[in-house]
Amino acid sequence: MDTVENTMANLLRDKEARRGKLAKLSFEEKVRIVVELQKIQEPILRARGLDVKVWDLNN
Amino acid sequence: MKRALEVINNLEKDGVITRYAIGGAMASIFYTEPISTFDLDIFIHFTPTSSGLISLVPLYEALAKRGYSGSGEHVDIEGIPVQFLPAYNALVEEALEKAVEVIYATVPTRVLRVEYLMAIALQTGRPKDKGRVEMLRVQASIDTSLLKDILKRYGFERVWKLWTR
Repeated sequence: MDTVENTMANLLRDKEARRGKLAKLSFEEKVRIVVELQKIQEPILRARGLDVKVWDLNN
Repeated sequence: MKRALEVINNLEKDGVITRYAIGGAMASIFYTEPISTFDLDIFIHFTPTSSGLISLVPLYEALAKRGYSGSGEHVDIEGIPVQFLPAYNALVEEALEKAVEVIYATVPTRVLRVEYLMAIALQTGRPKDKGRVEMLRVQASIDTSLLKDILKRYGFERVWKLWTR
């Protein structure tokens, strides 16, 4: 059985590795992810009264 | 975004702006994992008017002629809210001059170098800039001699130590 410390260390290492992989994506792929994040955030920010707009990448 | 960059390239080609580069969060994203942002910050250099003043009016007029109108501090260009920011001091002027050429979906564009993004974040000094510096430090490939040179010339060595200890 593993310790909580080891489990956490593994989780954090995997998380860091994933962030490193994301950083290596192409600029276009990153922009597509940014737009997906915008879609998630838009209703929350609008509910707070902020005027935000999800980018249209079709142009 | 491809079409928006083409429009901005044409502004440069037509002499409306003399040079531009992507800055802010989108420039950071070029070097790091994607993070949330709703703005495309474009740093611009353009020739001052005969009075020596810098005015964004000719830029906005040129955009309006092309069918793009402003909304608040942004101009909606082909579905992307673009914020044009004049190079407002020597550091940003130098960053713009040294910006690197990159390709986005076959369209050539420029992005501020990571070392200058870090220096500008140090200069701006907001909590989110501190986070940006840390993310760039961990995830981006940095030319440390260039970064040291910039930090020394612009007097950011102390704040760099404070932010990265």
